[in-house]
Amino acid sequence: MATSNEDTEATQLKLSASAELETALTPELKSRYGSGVYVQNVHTASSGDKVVSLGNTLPKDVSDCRHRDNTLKMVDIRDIATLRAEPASGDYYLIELPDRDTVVKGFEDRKREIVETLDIQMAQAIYNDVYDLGPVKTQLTPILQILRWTRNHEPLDVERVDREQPSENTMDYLNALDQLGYLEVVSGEIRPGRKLLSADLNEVSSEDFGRTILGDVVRSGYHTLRDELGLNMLSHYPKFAAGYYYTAVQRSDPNVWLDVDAVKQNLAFEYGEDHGELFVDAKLSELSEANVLKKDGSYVRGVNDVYEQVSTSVAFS
Amino acid sequence: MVADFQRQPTPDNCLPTALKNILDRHAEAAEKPGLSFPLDELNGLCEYRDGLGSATHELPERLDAEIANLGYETKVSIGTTFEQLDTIIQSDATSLPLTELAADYFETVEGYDVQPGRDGWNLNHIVIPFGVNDETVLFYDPMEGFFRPNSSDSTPSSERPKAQFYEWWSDPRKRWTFWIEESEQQQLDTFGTEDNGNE
Repeated sequence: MATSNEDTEATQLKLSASAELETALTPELKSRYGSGVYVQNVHTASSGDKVVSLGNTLPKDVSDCRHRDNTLKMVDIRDIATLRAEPASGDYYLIELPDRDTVVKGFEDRKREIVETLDIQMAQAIYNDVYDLGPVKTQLTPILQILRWTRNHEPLDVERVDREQPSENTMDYLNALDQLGYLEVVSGEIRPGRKLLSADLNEVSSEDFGRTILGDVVRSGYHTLRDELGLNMLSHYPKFAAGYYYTAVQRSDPNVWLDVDAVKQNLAFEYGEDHGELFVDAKLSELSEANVLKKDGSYVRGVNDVYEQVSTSVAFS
Repeated sequence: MVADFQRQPTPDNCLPTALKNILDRHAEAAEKPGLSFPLDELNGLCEYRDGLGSATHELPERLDAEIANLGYETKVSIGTTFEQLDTIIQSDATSLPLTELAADYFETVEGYDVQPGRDGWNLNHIVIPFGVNDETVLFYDPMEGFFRPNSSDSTPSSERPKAQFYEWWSDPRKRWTFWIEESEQQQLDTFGTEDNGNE
């Protein structure tokens, strides 16, 4: 029996406590929220209330596009909503059911979190490989120059760096690198920070310095560089790589062949981005040249090392 | 029987697609073109969201508002029997029914391979029964059509032993069954159908 509460969008559900809560609740959940919504787990709080975590099964076409094996994967997205079942007199539970929009939002938030995790893992896994791609190198050059100059010419005047560095964002970069521990800006002078002085980075040869230091910066400052400093190249290539690896991880198979259209669909669903087929194909070719993917005609498949790095951290299977 | 049925365009669109198929078919058979709706409109009536699928809770009320002026109404039956299912299928006054099957139905599908999630089998599925025989049930699975987008052949019908079908049908919502019928028709009341929205 369900009764509407006019003051809120939530609905109060009254269920007999004699039946198993999951069994009694599941039909209501599927009817109100979606056929894939399920009771993920139930635990009893110290108050005696039952706390019910909900998940949602997302059916995903993960077919091998080359071998056409027609494979559907049930992808379980956990923790999209939490309900509380309160014991009531007469051997009942009273449960406040949120409206569907609340559950939809919970699902979308969790999906975004998973994509974000995949993004970060992807960026860190393939950084070394995409470092040599022109657009990445161009966008990161100002950061690298600041770090290289600081390493070789300390102490440096802030004014001099700002003058000689052709970027408009030099002061922002200095501030971010200071906060991340790569350098210290004191009284108008720049000196190496604890991270730049660490043995790992200090002993790197001049030739390897760029790749090594930027790899380190990407690992420790990905969000700051991407979101605060607008270095979107950090996520640009990882996003297109994730367009492939998202399916590979869901299918637990780094060798699954996807075509451009399948990658396009992943990008649309996960990032809400609609790219042209030629554009996506070109990005996949660049990633193939950087050994992030293997490309054969219009098909791509994964690289084991990259797959291993991203698959261990992404919370679905 | 199911040669003209549409495949579902996305893996979680079984309800709107199945609903479109039964409405289109009945619209043609009963010469009531107003019963045919674009899939986008049915997605709205089913509250379809990409990734979260559809909700049936408010569907009867929403669909009734669209078809009442055509002399039709929705019916939802809980605890449906095979005899009742067969009557709905055979009647000219009703659409074909939709039934909901438990997720472990997917373990037996033939046109595609399904891998369970890390929490097991949790996605219910809507199919369209169109034949109840002595030993088996014939039905159309819109998901099977999903994997045949470029085939010139129609999607083959599915057939399962009655006992097996009964188990899948009974688990999620006690043999939930949905159809539309002419408002004047009363003969199905003997089946214990419920009023809309009271499933």
